[in-house]
Amino acid sequence: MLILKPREEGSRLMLWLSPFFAVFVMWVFGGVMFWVLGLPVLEGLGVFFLDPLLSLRGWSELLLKAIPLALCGLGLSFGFRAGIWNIGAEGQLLMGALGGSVVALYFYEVEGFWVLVLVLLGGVLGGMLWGLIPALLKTWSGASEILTSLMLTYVAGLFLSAMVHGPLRDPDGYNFPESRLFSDSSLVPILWEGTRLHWGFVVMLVLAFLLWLVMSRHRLGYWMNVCGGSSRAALYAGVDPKKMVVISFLISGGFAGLAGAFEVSGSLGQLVPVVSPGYGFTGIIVAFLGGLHPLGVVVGSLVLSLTYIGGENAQIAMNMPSAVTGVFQGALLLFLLACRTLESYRLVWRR
Amino acid sequence: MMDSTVLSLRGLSKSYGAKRACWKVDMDLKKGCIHGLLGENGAGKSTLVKMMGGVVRPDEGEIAWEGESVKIRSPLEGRRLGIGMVFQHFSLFDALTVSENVVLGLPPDWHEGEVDEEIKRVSEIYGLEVDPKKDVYSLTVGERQRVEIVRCLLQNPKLLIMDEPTSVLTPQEADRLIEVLVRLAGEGCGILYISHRLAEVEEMCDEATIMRHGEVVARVVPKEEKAVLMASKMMGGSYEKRTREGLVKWDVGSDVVLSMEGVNCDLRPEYGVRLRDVHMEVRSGEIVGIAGLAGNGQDLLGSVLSGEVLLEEGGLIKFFGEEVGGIGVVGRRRMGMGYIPEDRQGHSALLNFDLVGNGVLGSDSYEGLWRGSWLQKDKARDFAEGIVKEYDVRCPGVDHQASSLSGGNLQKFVMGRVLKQRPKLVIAMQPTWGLDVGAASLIHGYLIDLAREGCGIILVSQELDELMTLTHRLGVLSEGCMSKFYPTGEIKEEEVGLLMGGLDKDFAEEVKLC
Repeated sequence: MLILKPREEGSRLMLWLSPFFAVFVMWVFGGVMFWVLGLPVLEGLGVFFLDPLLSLRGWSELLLKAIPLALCGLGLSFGFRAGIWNIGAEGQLLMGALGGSVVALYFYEVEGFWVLVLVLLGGVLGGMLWGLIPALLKTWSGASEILTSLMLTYVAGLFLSAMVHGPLRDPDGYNFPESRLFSDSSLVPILWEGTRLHWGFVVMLVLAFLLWLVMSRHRLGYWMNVCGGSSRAALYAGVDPKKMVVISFLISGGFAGLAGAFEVSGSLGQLVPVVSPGYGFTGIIVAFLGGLHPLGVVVGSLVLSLTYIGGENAQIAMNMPSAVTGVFQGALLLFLLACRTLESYRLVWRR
Repeated sequence: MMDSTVLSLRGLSKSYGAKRACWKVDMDLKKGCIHGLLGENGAGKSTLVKMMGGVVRPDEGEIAWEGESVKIRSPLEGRRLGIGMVFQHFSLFDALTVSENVVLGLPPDWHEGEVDEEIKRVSEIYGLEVDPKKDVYSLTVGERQRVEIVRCLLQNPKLLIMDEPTSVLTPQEADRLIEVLVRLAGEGCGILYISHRLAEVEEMCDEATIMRHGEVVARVVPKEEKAVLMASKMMGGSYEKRTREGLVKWDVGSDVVLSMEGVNCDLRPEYGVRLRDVHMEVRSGEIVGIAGLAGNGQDLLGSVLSGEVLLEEGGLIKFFGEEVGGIGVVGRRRMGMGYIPEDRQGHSALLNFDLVGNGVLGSDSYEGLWRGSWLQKDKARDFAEGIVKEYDVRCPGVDHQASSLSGGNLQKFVMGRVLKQRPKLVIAMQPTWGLDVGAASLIHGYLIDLAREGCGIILVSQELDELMTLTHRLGVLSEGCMSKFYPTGEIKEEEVGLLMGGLDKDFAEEVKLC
């Protein structure tokens, strides 16, 4: 019989290996799923996970989609370390997209590099303000941030939709629910000529590095870890848990908002009713896949980005339903959580 | 003799990972006999008992019940055989009444109505007063224990196992319990009595087994064996009791380091007990002891003293004459107050942090760990390594998690971390709780050295021995009220026991006043 024995100390090796195990198990699971559905197993997996990597265009799209995923995952990993569960990054991303769009449309006819900076800051601010709501509800009345942040996502989605159908609609757009196309000064410059990959990727990498510095060296990062370890230890260290809730929501909201602003001013070039295919939710998986470590989150964002692109490929090439992407993502999170058991337990064979 | 044996163990072993909790233990428990099981914390007593009760399965060895080999796979099977167990930590539901709790532990053919009757009958026979209609949360610790015992007795056990039953009782309550046990034994019930208090075992046990490091090191008849000898067997031969007389006396200074005046604090339900009109004074070089059973407000007292909880309801806390009631834990630490909370696992230390990270925790008054808001990793590392070296912390290295340290070594680390900040006052909450005698003695030594250098010390403890040996003055915290402080040499253990139960006459009046 296989049994789990607790380790005396968490295994650092397993901390590194468990995401790889999880990805591997996800593949096996996917293969079985294709087989049950009567699809060719190897071809299916190939279309999903290999084809996007065989062309330069595929790579550029992979990196492009990794930008919002990584930004959401980075912000979330900060609060998750403290045991503060912001599930509403999707809503904060949408409000960031809205905030960025409002700035971009307001300065429609103005030129200059600072316009783009303002657009991005507008996005950050939008996400922060939306994140502040569950944080304040939590600190004032103790309302569970998991529920409020999740529910506010739907409010944000409907609010954005109302704006696109109403005040922000393109006056010359034949009543389509879309904003005007942003002027050039509000668009993020292209990083890789001939593709859609923009400078947001570099910004994301810089932010990941800064976040790593804060997490590993700054008092704020230390406090977050202490809070995540135990609330009584936080009390002992003199950390104000309410302040931590607010700070972590401001950070994760700001990161998600920036991701939203990059979507509208980078890949889309205008505000549309559907800005994100659930980047904010997938960001949760990214954060955990990356072990709540900034470097890991960046790598994890590439893996999840691949599931999005692979999903699109599979729809086109093999007529698979679009839900397959979600199935892979959900399975990955489950397998990841299961594999992480190995960090604190070892498998032992006992008769 | 053989026919009177209820339970016998042969070669029982159990390991957790590489650690041997029990190793080839043999034991025979007889009808009508109170059998003591002695050993330090971590000697394997609890593991052994859990194997008897079916809570833990042995790796090897045999258990025989009335001569027949059995496998006890669950507590239910244990109960069916006739084994009743009362654990150190009670297994009662606070929100249910006494009889509801009792029904839960009984086979399904019992009904609540008859249970009430039975509870009354049994409690009358043995003098275990219990009201079946009362809610459990309103009961004192002693009453809860009675509920557990009554629950066991309803099933007519042939063997009753008591795990450190008196550690949560006042001396008076303990005496009553012992009477009940003696009576039960007289009726033919076998009793296994686990304790690390020698005096009790000596008084009531017919025979005793002494364990050390998971192995049986001696079988004795306590009434014929000297307590000191049993102690040295428990400790592995090197037992030398620190006595009050053996301490080199030092002078208590005249400066008042800390004073509390009329402190009130009510944070229920977060803290179970509220503090009522607490007064206290500590001078430099003085060790002030606070006795009391767990759950009488010690938690909150520690939080209020350390600054984890700020004073809002009146009263004064002064540190060298300066009012500090509104200053937080970090501020007070920088002023020179050191705080050692009771819980090492998640309060004074974080098990999943390495020692470097644990060294930084609460080291606000140690210079150089932070430059602005940025952690100086090299300095933090040196600091942790310094603690490990100076305070004899046995560990695989400062990069390892605190969970890899034994309780004693972790406490030495915490202690070292506080002392390296050169405090002028140390608040130590149960600093030797759960430690083996060697580590406890070391911790006591640190406290004594500290006091000798002029530091004021508040020692909150449930161990009367510890307080009687180390302190200059002694007070008792009961239901959130602080008694008067008495010079330790002038108060007897029994008197402290009375105070713990709130039974002393003028103390009772004090309670009424506040």
